[in-house]
Amino acid sequence: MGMTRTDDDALEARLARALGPDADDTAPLSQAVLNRLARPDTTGRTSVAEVLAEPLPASGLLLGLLLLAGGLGYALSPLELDEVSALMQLIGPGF
Amino acid sequence: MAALATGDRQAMVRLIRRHGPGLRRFLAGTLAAPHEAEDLAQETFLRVWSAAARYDPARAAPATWVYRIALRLAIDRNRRTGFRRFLGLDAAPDPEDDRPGTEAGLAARQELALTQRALATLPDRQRRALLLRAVSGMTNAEIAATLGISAGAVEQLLVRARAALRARTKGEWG
Repeated sequence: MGMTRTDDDALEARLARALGPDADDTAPLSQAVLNRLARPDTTGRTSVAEVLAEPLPASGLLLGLLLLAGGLGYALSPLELDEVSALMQLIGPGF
Repeated sequence: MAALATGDRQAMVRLIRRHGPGLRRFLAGTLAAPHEAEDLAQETFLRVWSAAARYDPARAAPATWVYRIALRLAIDRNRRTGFRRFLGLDAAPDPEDDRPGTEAGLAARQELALTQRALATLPDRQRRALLLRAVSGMTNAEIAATLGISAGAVEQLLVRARAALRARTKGEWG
């Protein structure tokens, strides 16, 4: 069954109508935009919720801190050769 | 656009009057949380205002430019909505609107819900192409410029999108 240009236009008109009124009142939208323009900072603000919505920076920082703590712990651990030898003697050569 | 760049707020009002209704409908069909369409339409015009000085008429028509900004914002918003739903922070897709209203108002809301469900089953590119055609009346070339694809690809997307939408709404759209 072939569809004509008229059928396509009717479908698109129906779709547009279903998504909102044709002669929409733009005054509230204009007012809202102008009000936001009048505020000193209208873009680029992030709330606490935004932190969860953008998890990469926060999780990257957390991972970095964990790696730093692990590295520091390894570097500063008071492990001496004598203790290693003692452990090897206790556990055996399979250690 | 030149007037916008000089800070002419009346030019912004004119731009909203021209593109506001179409943009709102485009966003209502594009967003995973359609009730955010009004907010994102505002955000789009604020971005247009702040970037008006960078607008180059040789590269894009005003409508193409405005819708491209809206599309980028909608993709970003959908990503955030998806992540919030994944985390369980935004589990409810959309609150059911059970306000009392006229029969015509109720029918319009039901039709809106049906349309949004049908659109949600289309692939993203098909849905965007069809919406741009239906709500803004763009030509294939303008849709192609907005979506960053060829005009031939737009025609293919439109044919598939119309067929899919007809199949999804069969028996429900008169």
